[in-house]
Amino acid sequence: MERKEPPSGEMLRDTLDMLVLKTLQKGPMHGYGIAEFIEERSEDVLRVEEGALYPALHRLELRGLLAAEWGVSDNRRRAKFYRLTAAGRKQLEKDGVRWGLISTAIARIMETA
Amino acid sequence: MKITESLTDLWLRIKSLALRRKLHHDLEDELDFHLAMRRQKFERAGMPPSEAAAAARRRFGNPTLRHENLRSLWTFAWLDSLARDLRYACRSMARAPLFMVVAVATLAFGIGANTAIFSIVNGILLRAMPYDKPADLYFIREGLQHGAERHIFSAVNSGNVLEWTRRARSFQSIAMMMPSNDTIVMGSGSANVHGLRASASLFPLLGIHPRIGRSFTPEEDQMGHGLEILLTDALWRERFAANPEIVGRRVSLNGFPTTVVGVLPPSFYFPKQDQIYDTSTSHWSSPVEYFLNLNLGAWERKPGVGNANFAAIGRVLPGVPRQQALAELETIEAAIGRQETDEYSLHAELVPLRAAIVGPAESRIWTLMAGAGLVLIIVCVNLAGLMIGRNAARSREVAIRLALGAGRWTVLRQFAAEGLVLAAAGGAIGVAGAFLGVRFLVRYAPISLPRLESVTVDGRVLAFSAAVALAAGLLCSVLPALRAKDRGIEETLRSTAASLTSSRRTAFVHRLLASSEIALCTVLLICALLLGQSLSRVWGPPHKR
Repeated sequence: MERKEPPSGEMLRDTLDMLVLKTLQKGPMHGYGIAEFIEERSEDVLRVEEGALYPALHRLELRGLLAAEWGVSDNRRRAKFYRLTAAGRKQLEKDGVRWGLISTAIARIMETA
Repeated sequence: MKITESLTDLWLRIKSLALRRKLHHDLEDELDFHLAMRRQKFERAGMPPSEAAAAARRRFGNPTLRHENLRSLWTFAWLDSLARDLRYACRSMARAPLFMVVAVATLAFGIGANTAIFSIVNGILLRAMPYDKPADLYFIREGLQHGAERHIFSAVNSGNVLEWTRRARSFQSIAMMMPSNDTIVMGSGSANVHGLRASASLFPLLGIHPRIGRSFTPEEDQMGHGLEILLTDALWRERFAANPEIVGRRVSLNGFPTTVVGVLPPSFYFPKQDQIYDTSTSHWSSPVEYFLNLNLGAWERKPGVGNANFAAIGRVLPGVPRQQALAELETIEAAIGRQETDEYSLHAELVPLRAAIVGPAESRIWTLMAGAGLVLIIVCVNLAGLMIGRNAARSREVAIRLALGAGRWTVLRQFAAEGLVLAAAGGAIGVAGAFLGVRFLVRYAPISLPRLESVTVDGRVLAFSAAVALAAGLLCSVLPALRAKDRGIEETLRSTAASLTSSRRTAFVHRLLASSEIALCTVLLICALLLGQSLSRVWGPPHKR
């Protein structure tokens, strides 16, 4: 009965959520596209696991931060496209501010140490 | 999680529940698409197709697990397992039809009895009187005191009521009424009908408005303004064919021409004629079918001691305590009394409306409820006994399931599911029976209870029955299962592998079961007799006081 999720702390999960929301700011995308985009943008530093990505997408959809529609991809296959909702946009704004605070705080500590 | 997020979540899950197959396909398509895209990318990078497919799958991980993980996000996991448990319970019940019939019938009896009795408790005791702010309403009674001995009349002097109305500041209004049995003649037919002469203040005091026409005016309280009649909905339908043009028509009441001024709404309830007094008399035990204007003669307007023929209801002003209202009446009463006699003193009493109407029956109804509860407990204990017997026969099955790795919680849940299936079936049959029984009870009124008309199987009764059924189902299934749990798996497997009868321990358990069954049946019998006795007391004529 135990379903273990990939080891991802609360902070990591929140970060993935934030990255997904940020990626979708450009416009609707399917799951594969989101994973590829994050990997490319981070120059392969961040590798998005399927086992984490899809649960994150579905959880965001269930929370109403994302909406999903079925459409046709570039290679003319049926694909599920996600887009930001108004609530998602608001969440992204909040996440952005919080991320700014945390990253400068961590950077400050790492510099002084 | 915010409230809007919770709502979105719930809505999407319910939608996916309704579209289970669509959810399955969507998840599959989405993951397939991802896999295909990844494979394409590898192929474009120069991998041979077979290797690309394998590499994509390797990176993707176990697709079934991924699928299940996502599915669990969208569905209520407990709902799935509950459905599974219930299905299994139904199958295992179907394998033991005799046991099932006995268990369902017993539960139906217990739950049905409790539903019926609770609908009486609900209708008569729990539901508020159908008047505006009923807690502020009191019956006013008069009494005479001689030395230490006080005698309460069942009625009041009409002149004194006028005196209270004039002088008492604690009351918003006071109404009086008096039974009147008449022969009504309309057209060619005639009938004996039962009603009340009532003051104009009665209907505003209760917060009741006629469905057609009007109620009485204060002038019509005095003699000389003619006779006016206000019909109840029942009389209007029965004797006047629900004629909507009835207002203004003349009927003959005991030979006197009487004008119909209005018809009361169907929901209007009023106690029977004798319930407005402190005593019950067979002469005035009829339901009230109409109201007549008070038509008070000059001799009835004089205050005094005695001549008590009327009943009075007062509505105290909001927030005025009963003691204060009573003290004020007592002052007025003392003054009236002093003018006539020094030997006795005149007094008043205030009885809350609800207490006056349902009070005499209250303890008897609670006795009934307690009796029904007792029957239910015995039903459960008996059923638990049957379950223990059944479980003993199934201990091998349980032991095997435990040995194969089923959690104890899973097995316990399985037993609970069986109990719930039994209780649901028993509850449905019991409630249906109670529904018919209550209809019969109200229609033919074989028992004398106040407010019997308001007894129905309503939402509250159904909720009560559901709770009772749930409790009964869990009680008779989980308790025996808990008891059965503490025998070791290995021992059970070994002892049941040998012949059942040869095991001394099993034989002992069987003897124990048989004797406890007999003991329980004795208790059941005694309780049933006691219940029957209290039933006959409720069914019988009301106590004289």
